[in-house]
Amino acid sequence: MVQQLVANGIIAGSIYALIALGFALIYRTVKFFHFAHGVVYTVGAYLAYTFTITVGIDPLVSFFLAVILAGVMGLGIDRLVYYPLRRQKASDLIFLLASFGIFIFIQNLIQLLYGAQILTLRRGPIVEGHHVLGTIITNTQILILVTSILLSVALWLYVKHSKLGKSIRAVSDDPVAASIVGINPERVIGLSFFIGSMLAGAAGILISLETNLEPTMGFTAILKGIIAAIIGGIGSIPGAVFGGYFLGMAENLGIWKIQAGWKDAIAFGILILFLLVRPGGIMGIPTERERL
Amino acid sequence: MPLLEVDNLSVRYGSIKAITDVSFHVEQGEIVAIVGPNGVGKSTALNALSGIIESNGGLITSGEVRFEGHNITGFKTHELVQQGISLVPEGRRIFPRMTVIENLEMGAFTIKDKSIVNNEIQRMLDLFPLLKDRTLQQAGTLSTGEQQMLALGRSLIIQPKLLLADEPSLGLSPNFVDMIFEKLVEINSEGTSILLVEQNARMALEACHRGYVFEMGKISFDGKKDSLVNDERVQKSYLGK
Repeated sequence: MVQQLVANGIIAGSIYALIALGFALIYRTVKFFHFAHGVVYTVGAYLAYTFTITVGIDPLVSFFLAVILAGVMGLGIDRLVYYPLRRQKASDLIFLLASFGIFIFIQNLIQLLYGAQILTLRRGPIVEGHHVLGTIITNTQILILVTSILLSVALWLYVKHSKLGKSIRAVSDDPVAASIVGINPERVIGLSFFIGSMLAGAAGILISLETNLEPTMGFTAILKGIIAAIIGGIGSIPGAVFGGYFLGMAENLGIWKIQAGWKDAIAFGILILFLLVRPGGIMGIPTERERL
Repeated sequence: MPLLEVDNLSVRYGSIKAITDVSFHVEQGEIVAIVGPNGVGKSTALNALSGIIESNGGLITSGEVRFEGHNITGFKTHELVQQGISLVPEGRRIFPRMTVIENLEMGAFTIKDKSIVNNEIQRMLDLFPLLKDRTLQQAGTLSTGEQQMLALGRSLIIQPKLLLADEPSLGLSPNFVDMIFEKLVEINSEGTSILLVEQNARMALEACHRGYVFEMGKISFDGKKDSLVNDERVQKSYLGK
């Protein structure tokens, strides 16, 4: 029982980690809560559905396309909505409201196009999973776990070592200083939206291999992603991954003794606990703590 | 033709006039100092030509800035590096959560060739040996003086034609103040022209070739080093004689 809950926690954590990663990456450069990140996750899943089921392209190709398009969508949201607001030097509250607006608008658009009913991306018979250490794990779950870890490591290496990745950290530290050395902060912000949104799209596709699609799926997802990012220390990349797995485990181990309906309550309980006791998160940095 | 020419520059923050009709220039190879008390618009003048005022809500209402004869008025900050203008900003503004080496790498952001970047980083570490033992340290953990060295190194890595230095001695211990001015003179002797904004008039006038004295958002007078240092008004107000 416990082993299975741990396994479930790890799988859920893989998804949370991916959402939190993209959210954290974007937060680093723009310093506001890009709530609409959740709807990019939804769009990733629906695009994958459209390409594989409606159009009938090879799943791998369509997932790849969906991820790229999710990235383009994130970039588009930034250029069309946030960029004009940045130029007007809008307050954080305006950004948050705009972000909610985008979220609701696109979510309703999906509902309009695909209907409110549940869709299923998974095809073929349900195969029994592998028995590993007293748990049952399906191939899909292994795929989720491995993809999530690979993407996390790739992003970490990119931000740590590549020139453009470092420029993301530079803008995160001080956008004015970044422009002083010749970095165009707007381009770096665009880059972080593109990469971050691809990660959200990937998370949406991965989860839709496991469960069903519905237009509102992005809401819980972004809440969990944000909680994970805060637990880990908002803006920190290893922190986001850690926060994701921590949250996934806590939720699933929590229902060992409590009813399953309390999952979300556990997640928010942890959030409140962290905000009270350690608002900077596990790997938080003081300068970021001040902003929370 | 002067390297940098600023003609009748006026800047506003909201409804407040920060500087009015300010004109100055920097000749090739010069160190030019802008001195004056706190809050008279010295830094504003510098930030106007580096484009930084835009990020803190300032607006150029009139005037023109020319660099090597080209109009660069209203250029964005990140576009200036390409022109060969580098800035050491007030308060240093190093990247606190990046290492010393990474800060220097970011200074070389516009240089495409990796081997040149590595050579230049090495040159900066030779110029500022204090940074050599701390290459992998997070820049935010350096002392103020070391951070100023790093900020200077970061801005020099592209071998700028013109260095804009905003209050480089502010908040530094006397040792570091001396060191910073020594470095500025050394850099200048190797061909980089420098526009220096300083509250520390004594040091700035000592190091410069020419200077401008700012008062209440205007230039009240200017002159060569010797005439300024011997000027009665300067001696009384800024050199404490």
